[in-house]
Amino acid sequence: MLLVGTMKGGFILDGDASRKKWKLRGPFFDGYETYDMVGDPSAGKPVLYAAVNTWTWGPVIYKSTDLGKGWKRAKASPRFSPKNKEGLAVKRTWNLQPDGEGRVYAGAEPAALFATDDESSSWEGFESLNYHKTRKTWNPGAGGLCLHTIVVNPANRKKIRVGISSVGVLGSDDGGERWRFMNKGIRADFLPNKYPEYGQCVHKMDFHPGRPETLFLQNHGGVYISKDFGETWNEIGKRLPSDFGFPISVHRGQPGTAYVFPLVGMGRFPPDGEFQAWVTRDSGKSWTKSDRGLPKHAYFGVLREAVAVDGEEPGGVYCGTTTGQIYFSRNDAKSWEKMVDNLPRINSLSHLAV
Amino acid sequence: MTEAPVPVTVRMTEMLARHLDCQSNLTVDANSLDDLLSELDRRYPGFRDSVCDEAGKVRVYVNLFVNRELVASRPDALMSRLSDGDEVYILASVAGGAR
Repeated sequence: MLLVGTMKGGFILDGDASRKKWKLRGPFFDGYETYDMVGDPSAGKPVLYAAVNTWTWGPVIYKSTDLGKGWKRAKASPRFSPKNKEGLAVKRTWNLQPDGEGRVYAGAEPAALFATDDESSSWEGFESLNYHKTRKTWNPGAGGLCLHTIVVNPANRKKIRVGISSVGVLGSDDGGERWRFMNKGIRADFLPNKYPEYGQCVHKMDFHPGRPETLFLQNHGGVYISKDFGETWNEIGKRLPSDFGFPISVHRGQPGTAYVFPLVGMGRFPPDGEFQAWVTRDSGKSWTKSDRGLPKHAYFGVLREAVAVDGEEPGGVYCGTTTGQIYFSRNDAKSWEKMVDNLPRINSLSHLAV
Repeated sequence: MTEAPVPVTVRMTEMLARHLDCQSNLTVDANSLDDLLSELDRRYPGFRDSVCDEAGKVRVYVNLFVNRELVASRPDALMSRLSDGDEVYILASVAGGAR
């Protein structure tokens, strides 16, 4: 099952066992912009969640307990404490991240982290992050000041890393009580000091569940790897046609295999107008272009949440575009085919094995 | 002495009624907009949050009228007093051309 968040609602693609036939359902959520859709299988029967950002009635979480046949507005959605002195209010929910043990994290705009332990009946904010002493010096990226990436270490769920544009990586090793910047080695091309403590514009992080200490990161300029869960970072993207892009995804069976989708120029187009993925199978030592089946004359982009991988063998890679196509490889990105066309701008893809 | 709440009519856009799974025309006893939202939130959880953010501001694309008067943009909009027989309109701005 592929969950698809778009600028005009959510969709679901149901695949058969061979992943050759897919059936589209939706749109859900009255056509409101949907920034993320995820499935949490930890309770046995999967619970689906969607971050629906209505332009009128505020950002809300929708929930389904029957694999998307029916959706209900959840009892609660991430919110700042009404007593916050800064007058902060959640404008959008960007990212939903189940931790695998029943907790779901949410990243919001303006940048903030929340979690629910009761299937979105209530949410708790991480005060020491949300009211961080440096917050007044945080600057937004073009998409807003958003917390868009949440990484929870499955070997020690108290170790959490988040990505904020454009603040960089922050980490906690005590379940979210204390936070520190973790940007050592990450470049900020757009600042006078290229390696500040914070102010980087990290775009996405991902890891292999079996090797969680190794993080891959796509930055606003630069692709990086960390082998110590974010303590230090090393650049691995210099051989790419562009080290700018939004998503980065790690193969679920091969810890050293990762996929990026480089973009160039202020138009954020694929290099030479030819849509292409780049794949490393050796943790960034080398990269291979992957464009068999992908279109030439392509002038769309790929957003940070719009790439998903499955746990099948060979690995499936799913990529949604800003012009509403989903391209799919069922052979570890050796070749691609178009799965669906004519959807709205695709914000997010997420795979759920059912 | 606390004033007794008075009956007012609430008319809301179908978009909001659908969002909250409630009727679009209601009668509520209240003597201010703030009271009215509290009562509607009691009946339909999430109602206040749909109209105001957690900092207490009326959401940008929500228009609140008391009878024919737009009050949403006033800093003290929720303090607006209500009289017996008033009509409160909760509407969405005309927007969406960029979508």
